[in-house]
Amino acid sequence: MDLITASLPSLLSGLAITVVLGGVSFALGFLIGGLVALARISRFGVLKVAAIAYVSVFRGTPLLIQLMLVYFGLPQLGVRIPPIPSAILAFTLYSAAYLSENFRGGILAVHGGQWEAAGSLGMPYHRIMSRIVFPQALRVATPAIGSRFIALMKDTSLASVITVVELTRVAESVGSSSFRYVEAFVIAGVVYWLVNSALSAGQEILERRMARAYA
Amino acid sequence: MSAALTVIMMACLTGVACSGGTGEDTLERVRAAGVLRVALTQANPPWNFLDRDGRPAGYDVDVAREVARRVKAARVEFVGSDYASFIGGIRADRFDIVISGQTITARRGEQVGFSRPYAVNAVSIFVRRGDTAIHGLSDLAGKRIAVSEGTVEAEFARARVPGADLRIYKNATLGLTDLSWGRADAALVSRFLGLHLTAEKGLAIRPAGPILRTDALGMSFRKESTAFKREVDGAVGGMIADGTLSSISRRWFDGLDMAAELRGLAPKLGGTGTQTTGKEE
Repeated sequence: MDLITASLPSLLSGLAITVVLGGVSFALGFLIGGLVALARISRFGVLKVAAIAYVSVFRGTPLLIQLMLVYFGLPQLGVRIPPIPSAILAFTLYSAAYLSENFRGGILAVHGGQWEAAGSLGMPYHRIMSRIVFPQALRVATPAIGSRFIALMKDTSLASVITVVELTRVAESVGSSSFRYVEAFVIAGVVYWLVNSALSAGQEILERRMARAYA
Repeated sequence: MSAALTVIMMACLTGVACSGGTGEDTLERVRAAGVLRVALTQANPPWNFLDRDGRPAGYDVDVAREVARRVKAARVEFVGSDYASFIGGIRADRFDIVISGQTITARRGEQVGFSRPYAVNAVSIFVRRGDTAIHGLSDLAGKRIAVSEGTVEAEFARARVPGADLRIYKNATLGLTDLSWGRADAALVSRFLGLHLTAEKGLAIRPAGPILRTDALGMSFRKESTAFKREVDGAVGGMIADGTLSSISRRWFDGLDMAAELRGLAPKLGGTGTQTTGKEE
């Protein structure tokens, strides 16, 4: 299939952008999501309300609208961000909302008795959280977090509407300049599938490793 | 994957099946269903766009209503689509005809049938108003160029601007707006459309350099539908002859007589329906 050979360089550079978008946004979303989860379960009312509002807005609106708002909406308010940073910003905020709920679920799954036990030893809050509760929460939340990563990898295809030349945009260009739509989109689909298969394999290894202590 | 799906995919990949729809002529379908399904971008004023009430409007829309009347379709149904999907959409039978300022090209002509030209377009470079560095194609190398996917302009930029940093937008309105915001350095776009948006939306952009190419625009449909083509060509010919096309174009293009433009274009065109003018290096 000469279409593949001819379009291979552009497909590979599209794939690189897709991986960067997904990887960077996921890493940032992981950090912010963790902070949002902490805010959500904290005793401070303001933090709690802010976290609830954040999750509600970013989970409750389409990612495409968030992307368009960042790229075509913010300039109206004088904020002009280049395409790739715009995409990373939107993807990060969106996945942080979901990930915070995954973290919260994991934290709540850790038995309350552990808090009491650690507290009775005189451990401060941040240490109980970082040493006792969070590691266990992470283990519980790993399957859901892995699914989030895979979903995000596919969601990055939306960045094509804000001029980012990622994998889906390359496929669209190859398709519309060669008129070979089936081939172009099948190839792109297979590439997404390969990337996500690798991610699921990684997730499985991670889960097995974390389960070792409990075997 | 199931065996049946595999077979279908293989057939698609080898180009055997998947031409979409049945073998019937579009004319039979339109007459039987009583509706002409017209695809357009709905985002390229004054060619076609959605008005304040969200209804399709513009030159293409008026022309489409007139064509429907003349090919005796009871009703018109407008389908929003984009340049990257027009040809695939026709082949997959998503609509009967594209009337959306589509340039007649030899490559597209291998995939779909075209009507006789119903409009003329001129492709131009647009830049930000204060920009004095860009005067022609040769100044575009390495610049961020806004185009819409699947358009003649996108193909043109790929072929004629070495190392072009193409920024692909869903439609020209978004691309020109972003140009005015400074996230693109130039846009390749229909001069009519660019001038219209500049005035309408108050964009701080202007055309730069000579007109790069003049194109004949046609309506596209399934290649096999020869009876439909005959009817559509007859409708367009009738509109040119009785002045309908002129009065529609005067309304949308600030007094421009498209029928006269078409008559002026005809002798200049070779077989391809496309002519390149202006200085190009």
